[in-house]
Amino acid sequence: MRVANIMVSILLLTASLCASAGTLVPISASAGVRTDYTENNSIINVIGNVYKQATGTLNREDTVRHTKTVIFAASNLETGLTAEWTNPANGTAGRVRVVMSKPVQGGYCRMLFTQVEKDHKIRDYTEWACKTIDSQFWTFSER
Amino acid sequence: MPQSTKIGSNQYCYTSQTVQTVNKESVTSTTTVKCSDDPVEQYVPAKMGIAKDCTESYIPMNVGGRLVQERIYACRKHNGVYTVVDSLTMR
Repeated sequence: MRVANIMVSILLLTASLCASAGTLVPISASAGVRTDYTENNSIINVIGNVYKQATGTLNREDTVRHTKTVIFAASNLETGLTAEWTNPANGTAGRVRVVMSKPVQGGYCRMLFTQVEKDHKIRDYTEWACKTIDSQFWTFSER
Repeated sequence: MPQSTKIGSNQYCYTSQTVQTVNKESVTSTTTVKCSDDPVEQYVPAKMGIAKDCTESYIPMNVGGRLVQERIYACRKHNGVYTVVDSLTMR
């Protein structure tokens, strides 16, 4: 069971580190606050990365909270405005600033400066939220 | 003294009273009871006066591959930043 959990964590870690295509969840909601991952070339590094992943990412509740805030900002805020959330119980917070908007084929995209905070560690992201005219979902990507 | 009374699970009534004495003789008092079941008025940021323009809106989210209209509450603080609150921070 424990081995299975580690394998799942490794898969999630790999997926989040390699995420570049559009996803339905903001990158900042799933990738967490850590930036000091090392190459998975030894079992110690793998274990270390799993630990960093476990301690540096938002829990499910905060992930939903951050995702809602990002979607709210992308959907409702004018360029230049900021939305934020805080969860003092977990020592977590997140901020989203709409930086610019541009039309794309069949829709439009908005550039967001997003920030995730956990245990006084802060990580900044720049991500794009894009939406086509016929879709109700925003998709997120780093470029 | 102003006090709030919880009515049911969602409605709150607030009582405020003003007592005025004129020439130490005549006394006038005004009592105002305001009840509301508007959840937006119960948000902590709005009640504390650190935010205004609290709104309830729905955003499309993908939950397990299904389109779900998730409810979201946001209050605009005086510095212009919107703070997103949830039911846990109400009251």
